[in-house]
Amino acid sequence: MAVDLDAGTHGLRTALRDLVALSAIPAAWVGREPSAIAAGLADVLVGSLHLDFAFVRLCDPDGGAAVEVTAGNAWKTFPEWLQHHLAGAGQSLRKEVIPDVGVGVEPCRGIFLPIGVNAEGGLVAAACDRTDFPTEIDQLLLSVAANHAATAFQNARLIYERKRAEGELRQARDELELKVAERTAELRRSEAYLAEAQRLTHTGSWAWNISTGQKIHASEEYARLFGFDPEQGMPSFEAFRQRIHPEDRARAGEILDRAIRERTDFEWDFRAVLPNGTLKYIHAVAHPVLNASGDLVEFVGTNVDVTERKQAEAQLRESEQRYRYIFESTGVSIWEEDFSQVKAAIDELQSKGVRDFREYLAAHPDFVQQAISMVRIVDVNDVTVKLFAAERKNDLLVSLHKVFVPETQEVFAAELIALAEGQRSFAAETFLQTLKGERLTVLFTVTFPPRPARFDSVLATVTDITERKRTEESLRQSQAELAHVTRVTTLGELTASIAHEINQPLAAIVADANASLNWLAAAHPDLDVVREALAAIVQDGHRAADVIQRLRQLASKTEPHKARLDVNNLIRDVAPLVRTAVLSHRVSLRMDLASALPPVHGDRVQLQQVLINLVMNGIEAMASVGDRPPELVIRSRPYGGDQVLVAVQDTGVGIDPNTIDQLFSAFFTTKPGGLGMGLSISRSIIDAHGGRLWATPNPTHGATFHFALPGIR
Amino acid sequence: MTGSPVVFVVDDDSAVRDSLRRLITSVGFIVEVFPSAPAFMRARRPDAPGCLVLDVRLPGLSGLDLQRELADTDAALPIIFLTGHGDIPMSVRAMKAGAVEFLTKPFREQDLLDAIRSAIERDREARQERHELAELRGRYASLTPRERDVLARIVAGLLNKQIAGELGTSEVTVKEQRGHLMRKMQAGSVADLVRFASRLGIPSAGSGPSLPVRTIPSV
Repeated sequence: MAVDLDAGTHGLRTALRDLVALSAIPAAWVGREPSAIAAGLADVLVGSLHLDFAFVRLCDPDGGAAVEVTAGNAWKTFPEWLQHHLAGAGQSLRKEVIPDVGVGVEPCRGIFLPIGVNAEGGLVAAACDRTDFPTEIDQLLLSVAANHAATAFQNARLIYERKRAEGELRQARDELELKVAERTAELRRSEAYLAEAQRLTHTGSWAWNISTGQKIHASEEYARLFGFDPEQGMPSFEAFRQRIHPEDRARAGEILDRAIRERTDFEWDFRAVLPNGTLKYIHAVAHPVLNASGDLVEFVGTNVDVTERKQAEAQLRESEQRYRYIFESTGVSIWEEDFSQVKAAIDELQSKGVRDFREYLAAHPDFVQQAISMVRIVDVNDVTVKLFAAERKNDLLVSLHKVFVPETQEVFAAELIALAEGQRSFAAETFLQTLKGERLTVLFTVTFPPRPARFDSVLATVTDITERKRTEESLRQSQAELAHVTRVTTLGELTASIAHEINQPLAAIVADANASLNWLAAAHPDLDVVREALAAIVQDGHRAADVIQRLRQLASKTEPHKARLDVNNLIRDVAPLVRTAVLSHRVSLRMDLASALPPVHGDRVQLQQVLINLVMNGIEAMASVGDRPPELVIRSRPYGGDQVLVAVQDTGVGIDPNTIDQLFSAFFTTKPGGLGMGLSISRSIIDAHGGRLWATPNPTHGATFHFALPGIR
Repeated sequence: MTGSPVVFVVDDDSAVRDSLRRLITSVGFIVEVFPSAPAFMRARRPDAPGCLVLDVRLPGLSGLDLQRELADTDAALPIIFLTGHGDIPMSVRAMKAGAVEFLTKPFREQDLLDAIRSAIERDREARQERHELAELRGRYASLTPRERDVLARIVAGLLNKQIAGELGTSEVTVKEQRGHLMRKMQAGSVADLVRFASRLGIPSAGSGPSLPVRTIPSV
């Protein structure tokens, strides 16, 4: 027993030593990798406990991968057995002692030891060729070592986890910092944008703390609005307040007080006066900021420079007033009309392919009627009310039909054509009637807006020219009378010539009649001579009648009557009338007439009067000239395309350049006995024919008077 | 020596011209018509009494111009002016220049024919006068210078004795020269001689009393 005791003591001593050795191990495992722990445990089992073979599996309780390690020189058979055993045992692993795992010559015993309940911590398997293996001490030591390993493994896991968590945390922090940096840059950018936007829109932003009474934010543009330089630092609240227009300052306080009291948004307009005297109009908007408990903390707001808008508004208002003033105070009747429906109707027709509106309206007179009804009269001015004898404006804001007369429709149709053809304006002389049925002669103008535009405010003006027309008519009559008077006066001057023209054929007639009587009284009358004389009498009778007819035309007071005339015939007819005047002044008269002239549309008598007048003037202009032969040329020529020119050229005294402008004025004369009406009347006659009368000095001597008349194609 | 009288017509108006031709022919005159003054001036005129019916207003050379030109020649003709529209100053001028008549168109036939007849008569007389004057001039031209001197003094009313004294010759010689010149001048008496001298426009000479001298009538 002693031996046993000794052996027991020895074994116990060894076991204690091993146990102490084992106890030191965990400290060495702290911070090691799980695989290193498993390997260390396997080495301890093989090396320290003198086992032949060890297998260690450490399981991660959190479901991580298990670590398996083998150590020692085992028989081939043990690992196979173990594998088989593990596969067969499943989850219900128990401590097991295997009496003999070998199939070889030497016996080999093994132990299978789970770590934790149901081998949750892993397992340890060991084999040894000692026959007593495993002793209780072996099992205890194995168990302690296994538990140490499991604990170390657990610690290692925890450390690993912590490290991993730390790594993740670091990464997260780095990412966060990056994001912060990005956001900061973004914020700077958007701040720059905001500042730029504020600068462009002249908008300043601010925030004002209620409890401290201090501005806690003011943008750069806010400072600029008030004429401060933001580079110089933000001025004080009082400095800003001082720049509010003195008249608006008190109101600023009131508005702020009320907003604080009522905790409401507020908006107000005020003026700021800058040190250089510039006046700015500022529009302010503010919003209260409340904290969680509903107390007013601050106001945030914006101030916008609306000076330009105010000025534009003022200008617009002024312009509107001016327009109103013109609309009301002008002497012209103005109608504001809505043509939208008319325009739409025209557009629709055009979209249906109607191109020629002149043709269309001719074929569809009902459309004109409808269009008149479509025009909505928006407004008329006071002149219109008065002109159209309305009692009040609304009487006229009804329909154009009320003021149209049948003739007006024609003009309205022309206006529709102008509108359809995209013309910008239209003007015509027409007739309208007042609400009392009185007929008016008017000048009507309308201006359409440029395309594309709204046609709801088209302005039409109506000028009453009834009186003017009457005056024109009476002026025309006076002129005709004056022309007649001057004509008769001219005829008086032409008496000698006229008498000659009539007396010539009369003398011939009388002489021939006497001759005939003489021959007939003879014993043997020469009837041939008598016949010849009688034929001459007939001819001369006609000749005298012709002259008298021409004279009667010239002296007549008939209304001007225009007809198709040959200018050359006109000149030829005048020649005999001035013949005597030409002869008595020893003037050589030459006619230079172009052939194939277009005919003109004119009054024969009046045009002859002009020609006689020019010829007589030419003769008189040459009367006092002694050093050159008096020569008068009457010329006809085609002129400027389809016109006909008549020129009367003399070699007289010419035109005084100082008086050339007055030549055609009434009562201007260079003749001692002249009335000064001839050229004035001549010009008005030519004007009335749509022509032109003018004078030019000749290159050498004298002057040429020209008139051009439109020819008929 | 003289043929039938001829009436010349100058008028630029053919109707008037032809009617005048027919009218004047109808009363038996010979008529020659011209459209203008130069045409008339160029024409050769027959040696016969005549007159000119002239329109005042003519293109170019007027009637009054023609009157003036004719007066400057030997072939003066009595002129009857016609005018379509006569004015007083013009007719006065024409009449002063010796026109026979100034008729306004349309004229009465009788007025024209009377004027023509009177003008022809006047021309006949003038022609006679001119003929006689030419005779006298021829006679006067045949006188010697001394005979002309004597003639001038006879016409002045001097006696032979006075003439002889003035010319420094004898009374007999003067008497002889006086007989020669009376014969040459075909003067029957001193009165005839005075009349001839006056027509020839010979001024009287010497210091004796002079006789009034008739001017030669202009035609």
